[in-house]
Parts: sequence; structure tokens; C-alpha cells
Amino acid sequence: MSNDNEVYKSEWVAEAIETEYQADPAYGGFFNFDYKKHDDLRQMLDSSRDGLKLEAMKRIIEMIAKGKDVSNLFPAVVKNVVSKNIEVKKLVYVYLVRYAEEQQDLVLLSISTFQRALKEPNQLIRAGALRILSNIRVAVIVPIVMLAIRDAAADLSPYVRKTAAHAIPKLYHLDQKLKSELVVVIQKLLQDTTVLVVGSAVMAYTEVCPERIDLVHKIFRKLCALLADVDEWGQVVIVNMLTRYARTQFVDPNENETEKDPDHQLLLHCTYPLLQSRNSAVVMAVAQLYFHCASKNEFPVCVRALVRLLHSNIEIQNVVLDNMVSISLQNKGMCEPYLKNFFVRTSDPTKIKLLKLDILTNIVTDSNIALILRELQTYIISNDKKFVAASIQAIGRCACTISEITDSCLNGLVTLLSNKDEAIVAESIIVIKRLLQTQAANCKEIITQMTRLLGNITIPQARAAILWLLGEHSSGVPLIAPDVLRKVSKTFPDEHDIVKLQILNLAIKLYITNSQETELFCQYVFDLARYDQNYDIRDRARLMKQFIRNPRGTITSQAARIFLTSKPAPLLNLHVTVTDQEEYFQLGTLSHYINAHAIGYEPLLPFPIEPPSRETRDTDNSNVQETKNEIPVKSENSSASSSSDSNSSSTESSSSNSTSDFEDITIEYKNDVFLIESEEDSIQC
Amino acid sequence: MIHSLFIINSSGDVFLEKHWRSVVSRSVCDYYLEAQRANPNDVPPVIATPHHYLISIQRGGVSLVAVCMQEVPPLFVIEFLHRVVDTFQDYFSDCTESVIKENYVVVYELLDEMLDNGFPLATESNILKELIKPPNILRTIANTVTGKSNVSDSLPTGQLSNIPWRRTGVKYTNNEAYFDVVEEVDAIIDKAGVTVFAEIQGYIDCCIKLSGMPDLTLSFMNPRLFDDVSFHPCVRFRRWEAERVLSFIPPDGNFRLMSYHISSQSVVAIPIYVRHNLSIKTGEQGRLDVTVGPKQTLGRAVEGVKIEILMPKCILNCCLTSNQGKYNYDPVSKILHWDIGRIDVTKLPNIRGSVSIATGANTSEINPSINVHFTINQLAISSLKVNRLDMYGEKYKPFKGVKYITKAGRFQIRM
Repeated sequence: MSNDNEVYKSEWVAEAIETEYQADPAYGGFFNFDYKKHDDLRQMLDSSRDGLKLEAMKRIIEMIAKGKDVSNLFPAVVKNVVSKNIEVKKLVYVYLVRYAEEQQDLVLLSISTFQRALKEPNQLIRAGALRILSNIRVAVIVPIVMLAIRDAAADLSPYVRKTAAHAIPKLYHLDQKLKSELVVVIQKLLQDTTVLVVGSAVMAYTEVCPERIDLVHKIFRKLCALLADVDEWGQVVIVNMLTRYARTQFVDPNENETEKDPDHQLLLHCTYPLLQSRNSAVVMAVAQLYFHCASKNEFPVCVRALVRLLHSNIEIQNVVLDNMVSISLQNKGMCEPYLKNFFVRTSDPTKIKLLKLDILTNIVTDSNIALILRELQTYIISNDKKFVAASIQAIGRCACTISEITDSCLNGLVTLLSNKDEAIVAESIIVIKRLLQTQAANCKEIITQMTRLLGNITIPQARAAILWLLGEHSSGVPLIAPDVLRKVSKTFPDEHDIVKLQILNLAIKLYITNSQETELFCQYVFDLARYDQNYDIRDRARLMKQFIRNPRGTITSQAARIFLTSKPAPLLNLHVTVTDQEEYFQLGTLSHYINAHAIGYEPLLPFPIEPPSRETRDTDNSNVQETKNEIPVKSENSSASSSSDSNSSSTESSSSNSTSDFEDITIEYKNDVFLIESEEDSIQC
Repeated sequence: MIHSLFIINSSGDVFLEKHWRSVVSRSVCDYYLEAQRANPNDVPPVIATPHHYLISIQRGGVSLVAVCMQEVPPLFVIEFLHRVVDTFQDYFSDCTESVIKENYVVVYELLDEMLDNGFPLATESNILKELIKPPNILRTIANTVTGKSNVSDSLPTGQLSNIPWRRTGVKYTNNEAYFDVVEEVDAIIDKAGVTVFAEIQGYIDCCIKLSGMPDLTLSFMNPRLFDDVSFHPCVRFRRWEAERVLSFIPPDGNFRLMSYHISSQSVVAIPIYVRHNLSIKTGEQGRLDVTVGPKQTLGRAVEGVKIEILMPKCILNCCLTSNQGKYNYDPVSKILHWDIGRIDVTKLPNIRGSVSIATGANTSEINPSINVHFTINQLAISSLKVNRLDMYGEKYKPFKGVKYITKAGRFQIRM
């Protein structure tokens, strides 16, 4: 212990010096000092006592975790790769993996140790060695790793085989030329029937060769059967992979009235229980499978599961709601039963509020509009300004979809115009403008009321909207319009750019319909605009002036057709997600969430018109066919910890379990003992 | 998949980094910190940067930021990060900055086991605990004396079996199985006291300390109540489908067996009511009067009642008197906390007094809301009842216990 203390002391001293040096940038010789800095650690690593080594390694790992550079200790650490102490060894591994890329030559010193470890009887050590070997990203050892993977893929221990599957993508990223060789190994691992291996094998497949659909044919039915017992993460990967597979092999269930391919049905049937998983990623994976590959009337079960996820953490809610926006957009009716789950709480973060609002407006129908409108009304008086604005827009969108309520919505929005909060008023004006554009309603009164507000409202978008409306409907209010032009021409220099553009628009429109009263105002406004700071406004003024200058020009005769033509109404878009049909991403993907092509995203293919032959999925041994029918039995028996080190897969053992069921079997494999437990228990119950 | 993980504390320092593939510079976290600065309570879970995608969660004052390089299901990563935090909590009973800093080495070893090349390897706590023993003082001393280590050198037995969640060779002198049925009432109640929306979110959390390999069957008196359920992987789904019983081989220790959902379709009893009155006029003092009382509690006492009123922005301060419990008003966040405790039916808790309003403030938009917390012991508000628990496969007689609790979930009243 006294020895330890001394070492500690010396470290303290070293640290004190370090701070001193760092404070003085003029002090040179950093390398010199670095060498000294970890001297104590070096001594500890060189000592013969495991305790000291462990202590040193722990401190080194701590520094790595903090992000400090300890690469200069590499020679001292790499020696300890042969340490007998398992914990020291593990920490040395962590260190090696971290710095292997930087110290390519020195790391080669350790390779032989790992190669030896690959032959160890202990499967944990074998697997560990392969993991480290494949984690060392050094090009020189690629052939060694390739060899190791090939060996490990044929290992008797499923755990080692799993590790081999994990190692494949690592090697692939290191050297892409090995692809064809790796595919052979993947193919072999995909045949594996142990649940432990399958998930990882499919992961390797999707990372290395997702285009090799032919590899999936033979294992399709097996994967479906095993799915329920694979670990959660493997389930996600498998379901995602099978979604892609299904899109190439089966026909669109919504267009084809005929019977579904039994395999298609099998896939949907086997994934259904996964909707009850505690893991949101699994639920989402199944939901997207149903969304993209099942017929519309099969999907609603997924909505229920997704709604359940809304009770989890904020981050999960956020992603799930984002996907539900897309779902509700495509199929209104499905989310409607869960309408109330999308009601907003004041405690929700803004993003979640907006997403819920989107869903509410997407699923609005004749029958629920009253309920939704009442909710929206309570949202308008929220403290969250962004949310209030969105709520007003949502009212506008509801009014657009349900034509019966347009008038009452419009009235509601008009009453909002007398609200004291300017932001609400401004947002209402913008929405009213859009509504009036889509509905050729009698808008004289509304416009009169809005023009009255012009004096008080300062928000540029709202002012611009009023002016634009006035210009469009100036014929309806011939007395007011010129007067408004007079007023705004006075404030023209102080207006925001978009308001200025609308003033110019208003001026020219009024000039065309009523040139006697407005000509001088027009002149005045155009003169002001000519010297504006913004070139956009100057350009616009120059263009428009042509219509006033030559009353007999050809262009002037067409002025009414240019300015007063009926404009197409804008689509009231969602504010969170763009509902652009061209950019349509697979549900549950990263690309869907960020609404952009993520690196590595492959769009889903459309269903084939003629399905490929289903014989491709038939396997030679009818065994797999049997297991298909055995699924319920198998899941019941999952209690049986049939750890299968010999090639007896879990499925096989359950389908051909007549002999092995009621006795304890112990298979000894070198040092590791695997127990196949009796299944008696589960059969009793 | 996941390339790197950064753990960031509340002041924005990266205090742990771990890389599973090549090293990603920690400067990538700046994108996250920027988003956090812009909107501390509403950081998007996925941030796209020019070369990386950052997927993050925030829990217990620390943020976990995972760096991904390519397409990956975001929920996959989010769910994994939550699992990481769960594991830390399981190991160190907490997941805060100081705890992680104290246990750098164990944390690092754990992360190394949980992910391989960015793909989850072992996330079951029973397996991890066999690979890396949780730190405790006794073991540390024992290890120093005997020279043993906290890291196991053989493969956990669960890893290879069909039940990876349970370790073998479990032995207890007292065999116990406890089940907590926890129900949370989520509700939105409008101004007039009408329930806009109410549902029950329930959990069955277990603490099971049974020797050997027990096979349990849990049945309910009224399983028809459930609208939607999700299970721990140990539950046999087909058995549930057919017979509506939970049949499972439990993991060792604490875990969540199932969570269920009793939704708005069935009538949900609301166990508490709040009568509230807030009158505000510009230029005057406002008055606040709130009374809380029990409602539909089947004779049980309502305890641990806490009320949070999110006041309108214009209210500067409150001067109130309550006949029970303590209150405080935070003028910055505009939240009035009132900690009531147990509701006495004979004398209902009440708080009243005046509130001072900022001069010239706009009082037209007053929309305070109330968040209510409460617990009711020995009652499942949905009237769910466990029928019986049977054990097969082991000879001994376990001690069994069931506890019911009803709590407020997201219970909100609009004023």
C-alpha cells in the first residue's frame, strides 16, 4: 500500500507541474514534458503487480473517457495485452481499439496474442478476441481478420458466431474489395437457426449486401418463424429488412382483390404479436411494415399500438407523432378513434403541440369538427405564441376541408380580429386572406372590418395581407380602397419591404379600375418606390410604371388581364411537414423525420405487378414448413432454455422434440457447460 | 448505426465520449448545444448536421448524444439510449453527472458490452450484471483482498439460452414475489369541470426474488378491461391471446412485467376535483380561490396532493393563505406550487388571497392551467384485480404480494 501512496504522490506533483506549464505558453518542450507527464503511469504499467497495472489502466481509461489524448502511452500499454488479469486485459483492449488507427505499427505487436486467443477453449475469450481483432481498423491485418471471421462463422458456440456476424460489417468498411468473400460468410450465417445469431446476421446482410435479395428467399419462412424469439434489436433489423423484401416479392394488397400470397400473410401474422413489444422501435418497425405492405383494413391495429407509445418519453413521442402525421394524412379514418389522445396539454413542448395540431387538422371530418373546433378555441388563448399562430392556421385548414363550417370559422376568425393581442390578429388576417381566396364568399364586410384595423396593426405580413385583399376585391369596396391607398402612401417610407410591394400592387390595381381618383397617388407611390433602398421594390416600380406612362401602349391594354386575373388559391400546407407527394419517405426512417434524403437511405420500391414465383422460397427440407405451424407451440415453450451449442437449433428441437424433451441433457464442450433444461415445467402449465 | 456517444452535462460540457467506430471529433456536439441554447426544453431528438446525424435524449440533467453517419431508425437509437440510462440507474441507482464521473471505468466497460460496432450486443440487465458486477463497497474490499475482479471471465449462462433475461443458479433463502399495480390517470378537464379526455395508463412492476427457474402464471379477475397492452419479452404472447393470463419465467430482480392502457372508450373515474376561481382586471388586484376535494375514490384517502398552477404572465406575485399545506410562488417561471398532502374530507383544503398584477399588462389572455398530482394507496382506479399467482417448476412455496396504487399521470385542469 505504501508503494501505491508514493505513486499517487508523484502523480500529484506531476499534475501540479502540468498546470504551471500550461499557464506559461512561453515554456517550450511540450514533448519533453508529455513524456514526463505519464511517467508514473508508465512505471505502474511496467510493474509486476496486477493491482498497480489495473489502477494505471483505470486512470488511463478515465482520461480516454474525458477525451484526453493518452496515445503516447501506447508502447507501455500494449505490453500488457498478455496480462493474465481479465480486467486489465479488457481495459487494455479498450485502449488498443481507441488508438489502433493512430499507432498502426505498434498495434501489430498485439495481434499474435489475439490470434492465440481465437483458439481458446473459453467461448467468451474467443469471441472477445475476434471482436478486438475486427475493431482494430488497420489495413495490414485484413487477411487475418477475414480468416478469423471465416473460422468463427463455423464455430460451435452461437455466441462466437454472433460475434462473427458483427465483425463482417467492420471488415467490409475497412476493405470493400472483400465483399464477395464476405457475402459467402453472410449467406452461411443467415442459414443459422439460433435466435442469437439470426438478428446479427441480418444486420450484417443489410449493411453489406442489401441488394442480394436472392439470399433471403430460402430463409424467409424461417425468419418469420423465429422472429418472436429474436432479441428486440434484431427484431427491428429483421422487420425492416423483410419490409423491403416484401415490396419486391408480393403484389400490392390494396389493388389486388385476390388472395394474398400465403407467405405475405405469414409475414404479417408473425409480426403482429411484436406490436405488443415494450420496445418502441420494434412497434414502429412493425407499424411501418403494415403501413407499406398490408392492406388498408389491416393497419388500424398498429395505430392503437402507436398511440400507446405516446405515453413514453418526450423523444419517443416526438418521433411517433411525426410519423403519425404522415399516417393521418393518408388515412383519415384510422386515427379518428384516438382523436382525444391528440389533445394538447399546456405542459407539452412546442414541437409536440404542433405535431398534435397537425394530426387533429388532418383527421377532421363532419362528425368531429365541432369537438376539434372547440379544442382549437381553447388553444388560441395559450401563452405559447408559436402554438397560438399554428392553432389559428389550423382553424383555417379545418375550414377549408369541411365546407359547411367555413362560414362559422370565418366568423370566428373575424371576432379574433378584435383581440387585444396583435400576434393573434395578424395571424387571423393571414388565415382569413387565404380562406377568402379559396372560398369566393361575400367578403365585403370582412374586408371593411379588416381595413379598419390597418391603422393599429404593425406586423408586416398582416398589413401586406390586408392590402392584397383590398386590391383583389377593390370593386366590392369602391369607396374605401382609394382612401386606404392615400393613407398607406403617407406611411410608405416606413413600411416593411413586403408591405411596400403590396402597396405597389394595390396602387396599380386601383389605377386600372379607377384611374381618375387614384392616378396622383399612384404617381406619388411610384416616385417613392423609385428611390427605395431595396432593389426588388425599385424593379417592381419600374415595371409597373410602364402601365401608367403610356396609356395607349399595347401592354396597357392587357393590364387588367395581367393584374386582375383570378389567382389560383394556395394550398394550406402543414407547417411542420411538407406534404409533397414526390418526397415521400419510408415511415419510421431517419429521412422521414428530417424530411430529407439521409446518407444511405434507399427509397422503397413499388410493388411488382407480377409477383415473382413463390417457389423460390420453398426449401428442400420440409422441416421449415413444419415449424411454421409450430409457432404457437414454440412460443409457449420458450421457457425451455434449449441452449443449442450443437447444431440443434431451437426450432428443430421443438419440432423434433419427442426424444429430448423430458430428460436433462448436458452437452460438454471443452470448458463450457451448456444445459438443456427439461421442458416439463411449461408443459404442466 | 451508432458511431459515437457523447454525454453532456447541464452546463454544456462534454464529460464522456465513447467511439465504436473511427473517432468523431467532439466538436460535432456544438450543433446540439446550439439547438439546446435556442430552445432548452424542446431540443429536437434528431438533428441533421452536414456529415452526421445527432440523435439525443435528455434525462436526469444529462444529455446523451449519439452520432450516426447514415440512415437508421431514430427510435432504435432513442430506445437504446434510454436503455443505457436505465442500465446506469440499475447499476448506480442514479444517472447523474457525478455518478457517471465516479464510475468512469464501469460505465466504459458497460458501454463496450452494450454496443459492438454501433449495434446493440447485450442490453439485458441480468446478462450485464453477470459480465460486469455492479460496484459496491463490500465487493471492492473483497476484491482487493482476494485479487478477484469485477469482470467475469466466462459467458453469462443466459446469453445462450432462449430466456436471455434470466441468469441461472439464482438462490434466495426467502423466496418472494411482489407485484405493484400502478395506475396513472391522464386527464384534461376543462373550465367548467367537464372531463374532456381521460384515460388510465397502468403498469405492473415486479420485484421477484425466486430461486431456480420458476415459471409463473398471473391471472386477473377482470382482464377484459385492457384496451392495449405491452409486455416484457418474457411473457408468452400466445397464452395471453388465448387465455388472458400472464405466463412467464421472470428475470431476477426488478422489472416491468407489462404496461396497459385503458382508454377513453371506457368510463374513467376522476378521483379528485378542483374548484378554482381567478378574477383579474387591469389596474386592480386580482383574487384567487382554489379548493380541492375528493371525488369517486371508493372510500380511500387521497394523499400526496400537490398542485401546480401555471399563472398568466401578468401576475407579479401572490399573497395567499391556505388552511392546509405550504405554497410558494416562483415569479420567474410563474408557477404557484401548493403542497397539500393528504386531503381531509371534513375540512377541504383551500387557498385564497390576492394576486398583484403588473400595471398596464394585458389581462385579456388569461389561461392558467393546473397540474395536479396525487396518490391513492390500495386502489386501482380501473378496478383491476389480480386473481392469483401460480408457480410451476420449483418445489418451494414463495411469498407473494400485490400492491395497488393510483397516481395522477398527466392530469391537467384548464382554468
